[in-house]
Amino acid sequence: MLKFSIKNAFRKKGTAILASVGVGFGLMLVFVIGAFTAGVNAQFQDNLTRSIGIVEVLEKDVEGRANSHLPLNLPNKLSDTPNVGNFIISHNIETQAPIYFTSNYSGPSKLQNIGDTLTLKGLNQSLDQNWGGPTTKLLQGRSFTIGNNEAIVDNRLLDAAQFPISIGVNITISLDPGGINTTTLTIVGIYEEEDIGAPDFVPREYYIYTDIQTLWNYLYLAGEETNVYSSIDLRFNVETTEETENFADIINEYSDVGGYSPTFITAVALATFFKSIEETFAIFNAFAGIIGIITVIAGGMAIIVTQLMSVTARMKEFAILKSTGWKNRHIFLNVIYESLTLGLLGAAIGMGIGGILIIILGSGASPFGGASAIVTLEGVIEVLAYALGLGVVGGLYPGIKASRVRPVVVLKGE
Amino acid sequence: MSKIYGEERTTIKALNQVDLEIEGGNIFTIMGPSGSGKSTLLNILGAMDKPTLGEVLVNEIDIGSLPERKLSRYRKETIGFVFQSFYLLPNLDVIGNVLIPLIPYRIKDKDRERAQELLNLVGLGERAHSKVGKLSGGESQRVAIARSLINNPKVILADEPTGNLDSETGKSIIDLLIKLAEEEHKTIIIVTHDPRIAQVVGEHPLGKNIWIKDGELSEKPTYDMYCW
Repeated sequence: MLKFSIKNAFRKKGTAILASVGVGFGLMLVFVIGAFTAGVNAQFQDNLTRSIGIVEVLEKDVEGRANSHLPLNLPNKLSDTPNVGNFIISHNIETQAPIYFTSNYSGPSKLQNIGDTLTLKGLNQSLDQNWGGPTTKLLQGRSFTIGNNEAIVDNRLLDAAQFPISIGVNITISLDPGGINTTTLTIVGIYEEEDIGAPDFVPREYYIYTDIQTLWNYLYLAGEETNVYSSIDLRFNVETTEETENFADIINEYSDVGGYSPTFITAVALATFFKSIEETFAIFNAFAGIIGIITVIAGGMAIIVTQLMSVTARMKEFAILKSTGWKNRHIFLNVIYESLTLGLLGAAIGMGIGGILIIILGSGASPFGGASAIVTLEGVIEVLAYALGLGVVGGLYPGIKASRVRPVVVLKGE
Repeated sequence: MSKIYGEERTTIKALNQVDLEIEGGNIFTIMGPSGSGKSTLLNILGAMDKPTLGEVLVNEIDIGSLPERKLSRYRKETIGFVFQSFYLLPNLDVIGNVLIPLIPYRIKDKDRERAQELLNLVGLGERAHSKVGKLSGGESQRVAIARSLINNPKVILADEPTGNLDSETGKSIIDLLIKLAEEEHKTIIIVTHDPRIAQVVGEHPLGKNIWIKDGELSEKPTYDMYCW
């Protein structure tokens, strides 16, 4: 009967294909939104997983990381924090230069997008090696040596920078906001930086890392505060966001009672940040889902109308089928199979066009270039479930109408 | 058995105390003018309608009291319908149309073989895979007859089977129906208002004409039965 129903569904090819295309566009939206949602979600999940156990410490109540000034003895004080210190398994320190240090390289003419920034940071190489930071992720060259004006750069700059990026190239660093006095860093390595996974038009922060002593030397020349850290990262051996947040809370409470006096700090569990982004994203996700459902319903109306028209025009046919021994349920199933066929064709069209759209939108050539999308089995099942649901719902009323045909009434006059 | 349409003051007696016995293996015509009740009688015999009063006994079972599920089975196993307007499905080929009654069930190779045999019987063996749109009226009706036979029913009910055909083609269809009674021992009941069919059937040893007017049966026609 399935074969018969599939053939029947295309008895009026034009109408059937138009109905399927209508459904297809709705399902395409569900498919594409689903794929991009899954892509971004996977990115967030990855970030969230990697951030579990990490607490970032900044100076309290400062605007911007560059203005955070933490004393050099703070790592020791953090290690002595009651109920916390014994659980710290590693830490990393970082000093960030003011934004004008690399401002010559920011802006639309120098980087890919308006809003992109280039940030210079100083690291302690041995701590960073233990931490698994940038110096352990070199793709080309080697790491910087101490006090030799050397740097490693973010690999994303290979595409984003409008200036030369390769081993041996010098980068000019401003020592004053006007860029009158400058110095140079030589690129000795290119490391792999994890991208945020957002579309290309979303502004990004790119990084240059040098050793912390070199950066302090520059800060000294620029008249900035030196011998301080901008941030200290702590790693705890925990498995959940909640446990990580708990350590951050203890540090904050200890700071508030003057535990690190005269310094006051803010400790933030990175996972909390990613979780809040995820929650915001879930709202967007729900809205996108609602839009998808509305579009699918609109497309689904096409199946109902097509099937109703078809069934109304074929009442005599159903009467004949009944006269040959077809039962009510046979006729009902026949109509349902027909609308399922239209729905599944719509799914195929939707996933076909959606797949092309995902490839185009995900490629660098599109205005949304680089948007991460993942076509998951769940995504495909969701689209197929919508199609099957639409098929059943779309065929329900026409199927009941067809199955209740009374041959004696319809064939009157034969 | 009676069939009454409408309620209270607006009732119409389509069939009025009809008492009819049909023996298997014979050919019957039900003759009568338009509105005489002949199609109503055929529909009741084919379990497509139920009598208002009385019983329709087929092998001692009152089909008027059967639920819809059993009626479908009765129609499938006992009755083959042939209509004036053939009602072939244009998206199926000739043999596909013959197999229509079996579509809800799994069609087996032996069913296809039987469909081919039936097409041979009705003289369309060579056209099994032709499009039905390319068939003439007579050929289409032959396909419809083959379709009515696929379940090997005991009874063929034909409602104006020659109504859309020219006289020569119509005669060949009646000859085919007579052949089914003679060779396949089917009971053939033909509703018609064509006196020529009544004459052919009436002259056949297995044939019998039944006349109907205003819902009442008569074995012999009255003058006004011809004045439709």
